[in-house]
Amino acid sequence: MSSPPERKGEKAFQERGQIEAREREYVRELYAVSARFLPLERERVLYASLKNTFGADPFALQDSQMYKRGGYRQSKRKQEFARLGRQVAVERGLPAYNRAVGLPIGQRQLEPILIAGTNIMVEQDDTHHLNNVAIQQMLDDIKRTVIVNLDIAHRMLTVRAGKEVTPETINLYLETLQHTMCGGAVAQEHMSEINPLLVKDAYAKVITGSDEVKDALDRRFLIDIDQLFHPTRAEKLKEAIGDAIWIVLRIPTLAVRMADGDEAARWAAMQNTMAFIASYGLSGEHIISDLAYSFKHARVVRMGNKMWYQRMRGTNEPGGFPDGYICDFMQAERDLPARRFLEVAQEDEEEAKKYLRAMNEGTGGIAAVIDNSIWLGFYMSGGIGFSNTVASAALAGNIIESFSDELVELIHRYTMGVRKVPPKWETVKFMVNTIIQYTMESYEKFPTLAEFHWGGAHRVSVIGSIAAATAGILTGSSTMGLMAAHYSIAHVMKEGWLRTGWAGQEIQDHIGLPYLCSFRPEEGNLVELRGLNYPMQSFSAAHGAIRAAAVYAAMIGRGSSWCLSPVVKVAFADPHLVFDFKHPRLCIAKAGIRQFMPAGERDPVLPPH
Amino acid sequence: MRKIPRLEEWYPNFSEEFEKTKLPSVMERVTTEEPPLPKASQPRPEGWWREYPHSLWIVDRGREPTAYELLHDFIVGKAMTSPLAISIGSTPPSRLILFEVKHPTRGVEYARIFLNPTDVMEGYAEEEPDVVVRIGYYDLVAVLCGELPPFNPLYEGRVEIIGNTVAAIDLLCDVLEATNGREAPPGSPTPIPRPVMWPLGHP
Repeated sequence: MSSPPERKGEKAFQERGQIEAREREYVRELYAVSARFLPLERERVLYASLKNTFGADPFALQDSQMYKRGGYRQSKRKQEFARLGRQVAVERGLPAYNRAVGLPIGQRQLEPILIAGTNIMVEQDDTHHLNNVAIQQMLDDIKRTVIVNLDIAHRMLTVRAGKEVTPETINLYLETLQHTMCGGAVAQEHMSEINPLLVKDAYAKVITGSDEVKDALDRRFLIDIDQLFHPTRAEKLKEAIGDAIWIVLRIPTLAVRMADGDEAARWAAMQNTMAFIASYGLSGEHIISDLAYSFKHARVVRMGNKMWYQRMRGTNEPGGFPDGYICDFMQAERDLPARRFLEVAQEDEEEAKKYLRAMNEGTGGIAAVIDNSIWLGFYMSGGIGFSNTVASAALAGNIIESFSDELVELIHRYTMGVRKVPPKWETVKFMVNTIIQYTMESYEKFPTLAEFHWGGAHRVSVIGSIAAATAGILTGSSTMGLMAAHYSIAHVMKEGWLRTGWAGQEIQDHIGLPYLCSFRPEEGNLVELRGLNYPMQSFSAAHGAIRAAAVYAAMIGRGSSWCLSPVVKVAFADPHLVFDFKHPRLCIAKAGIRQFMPAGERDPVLPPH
Repeated sequence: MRKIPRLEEWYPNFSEEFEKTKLPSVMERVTTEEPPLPKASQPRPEGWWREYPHSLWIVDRGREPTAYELLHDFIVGKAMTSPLAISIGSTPPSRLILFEVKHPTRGVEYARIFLNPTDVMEGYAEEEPDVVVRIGYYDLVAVLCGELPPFNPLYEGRVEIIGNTVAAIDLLCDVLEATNGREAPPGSPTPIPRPVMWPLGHP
């Protein structure tokens, strides 16, 4: 404390005791004051959404219908399951799904889920990954993708085999490749071929950043960056990809379902080599073995790395997807200009909301589902269906949208004239405190929201994602975004509520904080290069989605067009994909009401049924 | 098949060409330097408080005002003349806001503002303040003079705010902006645009 300088009127301030007593005089009953604002809260989107979900007043502290809702019969889907369970038991002579055993469910409300960004209401069971074919197809479409650079093969053909590579030969090769990817034989007789209806989703398409190369290629085999991305995004992507030619190979869904993700690179390498043999008339072991080797190992982009021994998965399996790739799978921002978010938010609030909604579409529809439903709920814990509900918290009810709209309003209102937000912790901390304080207040004001997000992981999912998005989108730094997320869970939630997990458990985000900036092997890394299996943080559900929010928000904040790989970003813009990575939540909602048709069905070879 | 030449023959300058393909190092591409201070936040020449329009509300004591004197003069000479600022300042619950102001030569000075009822006091607070604002002296001057939006130095990383965010918004944004003559955009339900999340008067 500095000593005040001597001045006139000093005596007036000598009566310090009296003046300071006034500070203590005002007892601030803040909770009582906050009750005055409840009528205003009724105007929020959140209120309407929760009222729609529960069919009751979202502020109600007691559920007057508790134990009177008819048990599981309140859900049409569970009624159907009970009937089908009996049918299965009779047909096979063994008990099956049976609501008579276990906990009597449905004493509280089994809330339906309004899938955000759509008007489709589904039941909780419809978002389970086994019931929802869109979720399955999303995973299949990622697992069956391999991207290979053709420049090495072309160099090898010219240098080693003395072949000429021209647009005509490349187009012939591409046409041949569609045939071989579908399991067609090209170089030998007596080969078993595949029923084309079984593999109708297998194909290969080209990516290039060069207009000259693009003009020379058959448009059917091209993923056209100019057509699919906003011109400002297309320009950046093309500059990054340059003159190189990459081929995106998509093996049949049925193949990855029968084997696993590691099958993708093997199928792709084999069929790619066969297409080269046929279209360039190659023979001789040395060139072919080198081609096969390059297609398996040289400049091959697989969607996921191998995991450690205990996890026992090959490449292209979810635990090995780098977070940066997961964010490059997301496509919802494709039509938005590649501008720094801060500039957009300062100029136009409504335009800025579009960026946040694109982020919610991707993190809710893709990252949260991959992390919670697929990786933790299925690969790691078998499929009991708990962590699916964490994913559906991110999918559901326009709740995250409500928070992110407020975030945009806050940024628009208070960052006027700010040139650049530095990635400094003191600065970021205030922003995180601001938005998380608001989010936590919302849980306190709306008891139904706390009921809807009944588990710690649900609330962590929302709070961590919002914090990560806030810091990431303002600073453009994914590390800052993740630091904000860890801080919000380990410190803000902990200080506010004392508990962070379900039933008083603790979510271990305080472990994530010290390792965040570490780059030592097996300890830390850039957030873009981490993955679902990253060990030095909480293994609770929701953390994959949180990291994705940090990475994606940082991309939006910097005004970039991709997070980790421009070719992965372009590969998932492909309109031939079965799952639409631009509208993932719509696909999942459609699957919930049985209107999404996946690939990989075996009907062409099944008996009539 | 033709004879395959040796690599050296095909690419006599391979190592040089390969070096050219490398990007410059990360240290060359990324800078950790902070952007320069905006003009309004830079130290001001001696006697700046006597210049118009500051002379309208800052009392000339023959030396640069301390942080306390600056805040005191601001409330007495500027905020009190704005009916809107008075009206806004009397809406929220009582707030105690502590300023930790760092002057480039005088060092750290403490002053506090009590909102509703309004008071300005010197020194550190004995009660726990609602919010602590750590700010540079000339950033404070720029904000009080209305030359910078109140949260601008915060988002640019020069100010630290600890505590109740809503209290900071009440004072820093609403009262200061109303005092400096910001007008509500047409259709705004509140005199100064407020985030929907925390309407005026929210604790």
